[in-house]
Amino acid sequence: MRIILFFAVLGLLIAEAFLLPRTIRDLKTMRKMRAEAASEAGLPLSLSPFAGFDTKGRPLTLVSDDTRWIVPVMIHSERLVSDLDYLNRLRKAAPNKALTLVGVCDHSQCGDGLPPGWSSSFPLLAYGSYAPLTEIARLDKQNEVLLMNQFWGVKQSLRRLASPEALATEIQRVTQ
Amino acid sequence: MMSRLKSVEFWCFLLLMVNVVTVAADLYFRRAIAASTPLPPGQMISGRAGITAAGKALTSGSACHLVRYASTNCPYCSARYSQAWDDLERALTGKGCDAIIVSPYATDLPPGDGVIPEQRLAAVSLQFMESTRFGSTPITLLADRDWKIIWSRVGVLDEEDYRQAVRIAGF
Repeated sequence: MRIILFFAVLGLLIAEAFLLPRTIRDLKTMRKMRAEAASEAGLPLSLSPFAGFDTKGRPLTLVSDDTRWIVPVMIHSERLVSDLDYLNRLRKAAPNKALTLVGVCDHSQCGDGLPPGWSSSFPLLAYGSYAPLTEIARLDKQNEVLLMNQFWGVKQSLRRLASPEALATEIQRVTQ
Repeated sequence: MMSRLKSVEFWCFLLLMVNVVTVAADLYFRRAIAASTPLPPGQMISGRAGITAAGKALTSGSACHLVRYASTNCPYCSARYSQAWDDLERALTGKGCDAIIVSPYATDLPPGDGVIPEQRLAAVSLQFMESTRFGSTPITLLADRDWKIIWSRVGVLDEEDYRQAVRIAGF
């Protein structure tokens, strides 16, 4: 009986010696992956160089000589009309040409759902550069938009307020 | 004698408990790693990936899709570290797959060799970005005809990766 238990203890010790290093290694891997994920939480310095294309694959001219500030705003396909209305009202509330608004579609065919005769006062982007899109989408999930200078350098993020007029006031306040 | 025996029983029980706790902790860590591992096999990615530099959408109907996320700014994406990638690209495009190159920004697409046909994306759709979530370069993924991920690797490919990807592709 005793010898059996002795071998059982020995076996369990060997099993633990095998399991523990694996567990420690997996713990380190998990911590590393969580640290890498957390490092993505800050604001990017810049989204440059950025290229945008419309739904038909035509390159968009996003920045003009007048541009001083750029605000990309996400257009969600599930609330396309209200998001487009939001951007149109934002454009009306902030008509200054120094501010360039860009609608970023979350669906590459977002232009297909537009009402007949609808025209936008801002470019609608269906395709864009990978890393900048990642940042725009990440902030949108936090209900924020990026405010950038004409070189796509990030100044700060702004709350995507329920009222586009209130957001326009906030943009004007920050860019003065 | 009995107390000594009981003592051995106690140690046996204690070690068993320690084993169980270690296994449970390891399972938890592995689940946490799996949850944060990008591009697991079986995940679907968007076939409306993007627009090529020529302004064209991706061609469809390929047997599989080999996607590489790389940049000229990434030292480990250079030719020196890309032999296994080149071999994999040659092997799979030769079997009817397409090779798609994606870069983080608009101006950092790594140059092609001009021999292997590649679809080099000037821009991507948000659906594709959301379904891939590349966070570093280089990343290689292999999707089947229906854009279901069947294999992926974060980092530089080696010969073993090449063999594994070709085997999983079924060629």
